[in-house]
Amino acid sequence: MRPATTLLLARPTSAADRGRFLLVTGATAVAGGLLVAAARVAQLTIDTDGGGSYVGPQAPVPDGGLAPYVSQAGLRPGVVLGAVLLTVPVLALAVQALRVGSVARERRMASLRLAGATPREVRTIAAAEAGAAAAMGGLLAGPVYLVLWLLLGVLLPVGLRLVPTPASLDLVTWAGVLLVASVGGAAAGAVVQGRVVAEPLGVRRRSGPRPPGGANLLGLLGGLALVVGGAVPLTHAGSGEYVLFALVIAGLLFMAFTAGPRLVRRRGRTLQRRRGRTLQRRGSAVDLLAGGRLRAEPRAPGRVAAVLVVCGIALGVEAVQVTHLLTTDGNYDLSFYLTGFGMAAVGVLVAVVVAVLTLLVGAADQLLDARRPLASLFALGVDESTLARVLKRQQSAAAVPAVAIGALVGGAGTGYLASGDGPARIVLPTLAVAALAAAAVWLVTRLAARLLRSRLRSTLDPENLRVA
Amino acid sequence: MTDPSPLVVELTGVKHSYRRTVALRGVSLAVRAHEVVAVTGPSGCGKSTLLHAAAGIVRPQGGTVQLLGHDLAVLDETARTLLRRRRVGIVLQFGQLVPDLSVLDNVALPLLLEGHDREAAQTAAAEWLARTGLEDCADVSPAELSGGQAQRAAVARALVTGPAVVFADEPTGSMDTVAGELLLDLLVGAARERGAAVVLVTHDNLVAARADREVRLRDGVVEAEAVLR
Repeated sequence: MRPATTLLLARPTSAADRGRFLLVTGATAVAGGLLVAAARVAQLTIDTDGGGSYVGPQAPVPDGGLAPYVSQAGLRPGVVLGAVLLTVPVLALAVQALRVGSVARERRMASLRLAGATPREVRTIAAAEAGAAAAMGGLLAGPVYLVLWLLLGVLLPVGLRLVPTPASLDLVTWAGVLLVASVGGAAAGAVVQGRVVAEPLGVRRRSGPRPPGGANLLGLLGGLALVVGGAVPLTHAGSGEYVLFALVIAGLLFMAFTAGPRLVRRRGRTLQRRRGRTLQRRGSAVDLLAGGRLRAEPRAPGRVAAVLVVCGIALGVEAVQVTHLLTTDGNYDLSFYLTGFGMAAVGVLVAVVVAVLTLLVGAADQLLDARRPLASLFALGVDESTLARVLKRQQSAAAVPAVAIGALVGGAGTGYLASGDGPARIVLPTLAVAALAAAAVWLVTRLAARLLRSRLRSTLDPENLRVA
Repeated sequence: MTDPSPLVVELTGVKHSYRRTVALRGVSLAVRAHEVVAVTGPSGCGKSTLLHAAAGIVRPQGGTVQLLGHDLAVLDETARTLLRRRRVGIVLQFGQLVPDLSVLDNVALPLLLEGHDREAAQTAAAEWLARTGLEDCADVSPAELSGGQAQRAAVARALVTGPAVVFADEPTGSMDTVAGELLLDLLVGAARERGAAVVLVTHDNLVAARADREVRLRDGVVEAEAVLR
């Protein structure tokens, strides 16, 4: 197959293809922009003591009014890590976007196989499609970085700026991001396509070899041991806190990179299926239909719920810590800490919005794939507003409990570590942040569902009764 | 006197099941070059499975399949696909065209996949579209075609590579009688003209009557064979 033929077959042609391309491009551009910004911060050599005077071996250079989190060498890694972590939900959105229109795409791949394309050629086409979108995102990462600099550097007041003035080395970082995005996008496209086997008569799911259960258990237990080993003495520690914190973080990371992904996938799916069954038992038509959709396709909601649980935990931790700061008489620079917590909260909220957008993309995809059954429901007399409520219920049922449970766990966990505080300093802020987070996510899901109304309307067109 | 034409398809004792449903219980069938064979029988008798096994789309669980001199059991998926792409044409009931390519590109696709220049592939495809009466539909999307037009485009795609054998599964199943007759004229006429064998799966006696030989299946076995011309 010639490269020109690969491009001909990989170019986006349908509305779903174009939507998929735009989402992958957009998400990759944002993630790339964040990475370039993180790299720029990491390259800084200035070091201030927080009061504006410079310390360290470098000659004093103007810090451009940077916030202490960036200008102080000891705090800078936290900002870099935060920016890198923010790319995780954004990249998850890109991966979810790769699955948009999967039923139509699978049908197309089967048609290509019938026309004579080999399995390898089908994978090449999928890789080229995803690689092109991600490469475009990598190209746009530079402009996105400049926008971030404008928003979080130029426009912020002196002393609060998070993104330093761009430097010539950023071009190298940008080129690296472009390369990694192109290769990573193509690899992700091939992996997503590789999970289904396209055959001339249709597709079948590939059931790959499962990792041994013992390895997952070992990862989970090892991580838990580190977390408990660090967390329990932390409550009584007078000194050596950093070592214990490091143990807790190491345990969490160990779990995240060993048993984490598989557990998230399996537990997420199981919990969403269970949630679907619970909804269906309630008996109303809206709950019945929303529960049915969750049970039929629990993968995307399961992944999003996992992200929202983590976001909830972060919010719960923050709520209790902020309460602790505000109610404890200490020699704290409150504005310094509160700005830091505020930045972290904004980062978490961005992650929440991106996660809900991922849910929205999944729901849009379901609408596309379920045109015929939805048009049939409409023909049977189920009106559009009922189906819109199904969409809202489907999304809020997956997202709201996840963030609330996360906030409760985060608040309670931090409260345990800060057991010197009375219950009023733990229970109330935990409950308050859980309620607020749940309400905010509920609102975002309502808004997201509203965005789908026009697509829902086109899905209900009687013409779709003829769709195979 | 024996027929001197070489065998293009030879199935021996082919068995296949889908979970608990037995589709084929040891079917043997031989098709020679230039021959048009109709496989008939009631729904669920195993006709389509037989065609899929003969074309190498399905790997049967028992027996052997020789296609154009190749034992399909020893070919991997890619080799079987390349064999189909280069020397076999396939027409299914609903055309199964690639929805987001134009009709012209759909017909040119097997040549493009084979590495032909796009212009040359499109020229060859345009000739076949003209033969099938679809020259005015070259640039339209398959979604805009009627069922009969889509089937004619599928026939053009099946014949564009000059195959040695064409497999057609209920090619007129979604068409009225007149359109079905026209499609068969086209398919069988073009195949005979090029010396290609045709294996037609159908439950329609009028379609079967166009064949040189009819093989009748029932419950996964060959019930009867009849030479028609």
